[in-house]
Amino acid sequence: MTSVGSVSSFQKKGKSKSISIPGTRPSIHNSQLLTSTGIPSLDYLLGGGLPVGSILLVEEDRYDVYSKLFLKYFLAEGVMNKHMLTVASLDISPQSITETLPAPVDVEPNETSESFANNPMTIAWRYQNQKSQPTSFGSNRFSHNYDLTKVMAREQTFEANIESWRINSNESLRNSYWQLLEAIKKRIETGNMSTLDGSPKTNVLRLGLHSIGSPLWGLEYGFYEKDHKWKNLTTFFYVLRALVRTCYSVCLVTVPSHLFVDPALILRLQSMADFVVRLESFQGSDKETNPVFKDYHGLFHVVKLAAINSLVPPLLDSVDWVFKLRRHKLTVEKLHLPPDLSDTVSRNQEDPVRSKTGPTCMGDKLPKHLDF
Amino acid sequence: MNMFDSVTNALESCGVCIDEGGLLLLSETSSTTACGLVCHVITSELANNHHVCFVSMQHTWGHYCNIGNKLGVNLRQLTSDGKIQVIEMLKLLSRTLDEVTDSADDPFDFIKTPSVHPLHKLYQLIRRTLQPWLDKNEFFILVLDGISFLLNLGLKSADIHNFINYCRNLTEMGDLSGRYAGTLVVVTQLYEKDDETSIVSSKIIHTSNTYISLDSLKTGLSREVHGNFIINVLNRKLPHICSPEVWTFQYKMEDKNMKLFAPGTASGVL
Repeated sequence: MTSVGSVSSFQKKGKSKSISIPGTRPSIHNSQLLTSTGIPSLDYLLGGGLPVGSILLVEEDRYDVYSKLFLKYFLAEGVMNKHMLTVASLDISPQSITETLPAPVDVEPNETSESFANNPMTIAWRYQNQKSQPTSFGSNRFSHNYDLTKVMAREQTFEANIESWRINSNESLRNSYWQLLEAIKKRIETGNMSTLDGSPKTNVLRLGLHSIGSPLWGLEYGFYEKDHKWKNLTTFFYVLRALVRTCYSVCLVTVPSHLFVDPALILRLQSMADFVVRLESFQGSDKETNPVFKDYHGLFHVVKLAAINSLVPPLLDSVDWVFKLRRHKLTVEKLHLPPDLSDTVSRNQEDPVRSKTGPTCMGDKLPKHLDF
Repeated sequence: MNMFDSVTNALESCGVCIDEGGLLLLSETSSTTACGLVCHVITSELANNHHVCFVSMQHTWGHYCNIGNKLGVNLRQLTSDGKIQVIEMLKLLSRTLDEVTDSADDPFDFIKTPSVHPLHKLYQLIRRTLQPWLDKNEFFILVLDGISFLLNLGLKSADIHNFINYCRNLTEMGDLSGRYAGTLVVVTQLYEKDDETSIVSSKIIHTSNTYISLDSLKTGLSREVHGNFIINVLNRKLPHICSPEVWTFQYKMEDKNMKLFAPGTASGVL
């Protein structure tokens, strides 16, 4: 044991800088500053929220229905906290995303409790009052509530600091990924968000990048992976990781991973993102009619949870997660098998001892109920 | 200042010596991370009063500092003391986007303008960093963390292998007594379905004297066992040993510890 570098336990831990950025809170597990993804149940899965400086990669469902909703929640949360936003997409116009963000509501649209009140449980009554979600995040949640049936008011989105990135067709010489990176870099500089200059920050930059790597970004993937057909995409991701890590920002990227032919590509992207989730929608698959999944809309695969600033990643209490789209909100839940209530499966409750008469050699004097 | 006791014991019992020069390779997979092991190697070398040059390609240096803080080692302080020299690729990479960059200094120049020897500038940067220690003949370890990340920039495995050979030569520039100037520690990522990462790793394995792989369990995830910890040692000094000695452990990462145990003796099993 040498004394080199060992820390006295009496030193003050961390810096006592009292900066508070709206929409953030420090993590309990490490010194990370967390932001909300807009969906409390997703925050819970990520260990309380999305740490500043990290990338959440969402692998899209086949028709990009639900992944777009995740993106909208993420952006709406940014609008509510007056964060800086950058939205980029080549598949659809970025305005069409920002114009249809879910509207904030004061109370949580609670559909589940109503439905439970209407049909009381027929088995396992003792669980009647338990929620299917762990209640722990209910108390210390810090995201807003949204209602999917309403659209956020125009004034609110107008006031917000949103940049919609569009490709500059005059500059077709350079690839679109590089253009986007330069736009993000410029945004970081104008917002003075970089951590390299050491000035205190008062805001967070939220990057919502939709359908990166889709065919509209240039045919980068294919069977010729050995020729590095997708090197632009991986370079983009690596530089994006570098940018996000060196400034006050959080990033949500969706990628159409079902279009990637080479499995190595998605592995590379996963290694560069911090959190990876894959959405597997039941739309058009045979799982749609499977009674096991009748309450849900898709499987929610948690592919990767990074350990940031610590040795162990956030610990999950389950491996099977599903997402459910109600009229008013989208939630991520633990997969519970539904109780089978049909008549055919109900067990024969009759006591086998009671139905049979005793052995004939004993006559009929044997009492029917043996008293032990 | 030994970080994880069970790792120290295991390495000692297997005869792994980090401060004798040569190449130590650590590999991680998509579900295991060598972060803890890297921290362990760095701190144990600092405790031996050696210098560390840390080239991080995967994480920020702050990530390792925060882990160190948790475990009671102030890496930030040691960095400002000059015991550790850090080359942070993520910082350098974010600067390549600046419109006015000094292209002579930028090691990632090859992204914009293709080059025949893309990693030459990075090598020169490392060499400049190591030069004071080389001059004074002080022992150092050079850690290249996350070498497979360079593949993402469109580099070929041959480029990376060249680069590692150059770095290896740096550590072999000892004095005339044949002593090594330093040890090279390389961390690679190994993905089963990604051929190129396995090509990179297998080429480095060939030149390494110790190879520690952190594999995930084949049967899936476990709460008590996070993966296999396999040590391969090839002692090149002895002429009659032709196959590496292999020890297999299992490991579990805890909040402030890395626990090694014999396969099948996890606390959940016993």
